[in-house]
Amino acid sequence: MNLPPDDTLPPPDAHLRTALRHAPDADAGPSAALSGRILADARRAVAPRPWGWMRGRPAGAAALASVLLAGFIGLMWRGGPPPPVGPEPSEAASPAVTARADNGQGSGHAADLSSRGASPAPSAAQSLRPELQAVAPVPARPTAPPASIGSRADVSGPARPAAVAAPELREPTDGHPLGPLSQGAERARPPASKAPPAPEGAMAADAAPADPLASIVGRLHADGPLPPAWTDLQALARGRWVPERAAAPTPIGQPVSAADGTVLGWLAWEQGAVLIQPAEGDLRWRASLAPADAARLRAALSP
Amino acid sequence: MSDEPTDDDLMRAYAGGSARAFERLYRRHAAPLYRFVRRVLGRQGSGHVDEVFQDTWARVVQARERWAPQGAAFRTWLFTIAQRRAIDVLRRSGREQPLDEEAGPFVPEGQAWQGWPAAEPAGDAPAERSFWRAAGRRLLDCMETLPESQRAVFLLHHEEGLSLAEAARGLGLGFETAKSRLRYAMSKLRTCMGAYLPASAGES
Repeated sequence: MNLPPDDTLPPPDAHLRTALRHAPDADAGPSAALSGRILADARRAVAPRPWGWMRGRPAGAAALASVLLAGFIGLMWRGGPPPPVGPEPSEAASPAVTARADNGQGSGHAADLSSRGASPAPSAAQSLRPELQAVAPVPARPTAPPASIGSRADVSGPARPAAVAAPELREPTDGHPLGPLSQGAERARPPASKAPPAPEGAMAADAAPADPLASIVGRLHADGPLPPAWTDLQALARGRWVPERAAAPTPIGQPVSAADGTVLGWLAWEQGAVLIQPAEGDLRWRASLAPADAARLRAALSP
Repeated sequence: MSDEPTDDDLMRAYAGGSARAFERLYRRHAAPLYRFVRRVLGRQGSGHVDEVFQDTWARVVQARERWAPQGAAFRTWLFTIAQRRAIDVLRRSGREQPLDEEAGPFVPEGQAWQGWPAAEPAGDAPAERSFWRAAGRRLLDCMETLPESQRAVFLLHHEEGLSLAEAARGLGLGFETAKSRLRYAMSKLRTCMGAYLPASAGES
């Protein structure tokens, strides 16, 4: 731009300039807080940043992004896909679930907590009892023997008539067989495990696995060398135990005795399932097993 | 020759990551810039002084890496940013005063007062200080009557000491336009001050 020189203008008015210099706002300035904010912003703008070295280096940024992505994917797949939570689909339907399905009955979870302490009831209420126990948070103590379940039932309060308990148990919850709490537990499960309906015992075990074998195996182990079949059975059945009866049942199968002859429980076998009835407590537990496993363990543990 | 780094040196150092350079730059220009913003905005825009001031420095921060002293001094650039932001704010709030110089050729409004005391240097006498203080107060009132663009040219030229060419370049105006605005501003202010000063002088 070609501008004429300033000397073509009269000089600045000295009077106005002097008046400006003496104006009341001549000493005005930014507040300390305002200056602080501005200086802080300015410092922040030039402060070294962790990723500052990447500026102007798109290749470096891309390489770093690739490494991070690969690391993330590797972390996600470390150890392979997550193991299935429930049992194999072929064994998904336990007898308890099947029986309930046949009867068209659902177990309202709302009844679980209130009726957990109910004394055993005959007939229909008794047939629902296993489901009731399965969805109830009975196995809150993983190694607790079934006896604790029974004892809890004993101290929970007066017995409730079956006629009262049964309608609550049968109350459907939007078609879901397990009620709100179990629905929540199922929602939390990976989708793959939802395809086959897992047995309720497994669901209860998800929340807090019970192992009715724990006390028996523990005692046998204390007595001497433990046959490996017991630990195999314990491992294969873990999370699959379903309580079957609340009332004191007739002993089933073969007795399992300690070295001193004390009967620790009874062990029985069915096609693709094992039943254990600890001497303490009044429950019988069933666990579905692969037929081959059941046959092998049965042979190993039979007297 | 002074050892003080120039504004351009400080700006380059800041672009290189020196926050301390920015602090020196800020200390050097903060007070005059704040005063300038306050006067350009006038009473109508007094609520926006901090906003415009802070935004001006924010733009300096943002532009640190693009800054290159190509003809314009840093100070001119800084005040130009502030003036534009102030005009934006006034325009946004509907308080911008329209320009009137396009209405016709410049004609002085009335007769400026001729009885000014010696302006520079202002004496130390209390009476003179009182006179100039009253004159300054009056001048701020008079400046309120100017459109912001005239006010900005006047302030850049009279207070900040920019040449008219620098002021014109900074404000993005042609030289003649800037000169016209300056003349309008000075004429109005002289007339406005002249109407006031006799009474003020009489007080002193």
